[in-house]
Amino acid sequence: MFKRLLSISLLSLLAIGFVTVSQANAQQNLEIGYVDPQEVLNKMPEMKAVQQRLQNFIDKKRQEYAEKQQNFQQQVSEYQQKQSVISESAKQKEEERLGKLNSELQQFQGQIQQEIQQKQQELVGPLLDQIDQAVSTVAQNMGLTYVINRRTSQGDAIILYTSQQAQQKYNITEEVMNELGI
Amino acid sequence: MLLFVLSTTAFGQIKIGYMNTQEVLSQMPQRSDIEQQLNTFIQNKRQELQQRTAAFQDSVAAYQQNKSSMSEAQIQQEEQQLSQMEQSLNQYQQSLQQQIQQRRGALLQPLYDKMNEAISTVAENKNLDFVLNEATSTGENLIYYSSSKQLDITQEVLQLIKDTSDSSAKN
Repeated sequence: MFKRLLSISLLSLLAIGFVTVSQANAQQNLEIGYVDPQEVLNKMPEMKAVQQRLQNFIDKKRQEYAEKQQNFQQQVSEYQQKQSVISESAKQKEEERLGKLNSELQQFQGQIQQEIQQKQQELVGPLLDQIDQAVSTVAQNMGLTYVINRRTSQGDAIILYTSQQAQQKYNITEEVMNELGI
Repeated sequence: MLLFVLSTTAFGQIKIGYMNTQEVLSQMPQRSDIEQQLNTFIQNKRQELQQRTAAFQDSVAAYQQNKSSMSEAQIQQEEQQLSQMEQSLNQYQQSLQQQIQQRRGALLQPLYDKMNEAISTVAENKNLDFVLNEATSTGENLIYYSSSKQLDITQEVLQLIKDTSDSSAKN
């Protein structure tokens, strides 16, 4: 009798256990991983050349700006020299011209900033595409539902904390690097 | 029974918490002290810029006054000097923003470290696998919706920081 009771309770326990496990499994269909693209990017061998090219571009643009600035200052000092000997209307004209030149210079400075950003996107973009593709391949191989980005390109954390177990289980950064042959 | 417990933990759901880092950072007790330090730094730098600008303007005015009594060579030399002065002034002005950013980063780093430490402690106590950031530092949402406020650990992290800050102040 006692044995019978025991086996029944064991059975029902097993049944409950089975139901809970299968429920957990159903929920578990949602498999996630996460990746730190910045970490991958920094380790890509192409990155060195990209940084060098970007630096060259920045240097070139800075040089252009410095030349324009110097040219402007030269014209200002030329004007200051003849200021006392030219007519009032000529003065006004000159000052208008210099004012326009000055705003052009400022515009150029803003434009450089934009061009540098564009250049960066143009150079880093293909590398990010490669990472994207590698993440997809790894995720498909691992049967993941989602892969979450660890931080924004501005450096803001999206994932603030991962337990050690979660790191081992869900961080696929290493796998993505392997896929890329790094 | 033991098997059952094991299986739920092994196959259990991932436990995810979230929090608002900006809220914690803005309410940390050390915050006002750091803001004051940063403001002092900015004021000092602004003063320096004003002094340099004034010095440059004085030099220009002095040059314009004396110009008529100067030789052509002197004028050229003087103008070259003034243009150099202007250039270095411009450079200084441009570097100011960067200097302030750097100073800000250096001052805030200990706050971030303390916050991260508190996040780890709270997450470990609550057995969380992940803690997600609710919003970026520019205020963009990373999490739009959560069905349970219990997953929000912002107040717990803040409380822990306050508690540990108090005790270290007393010691």
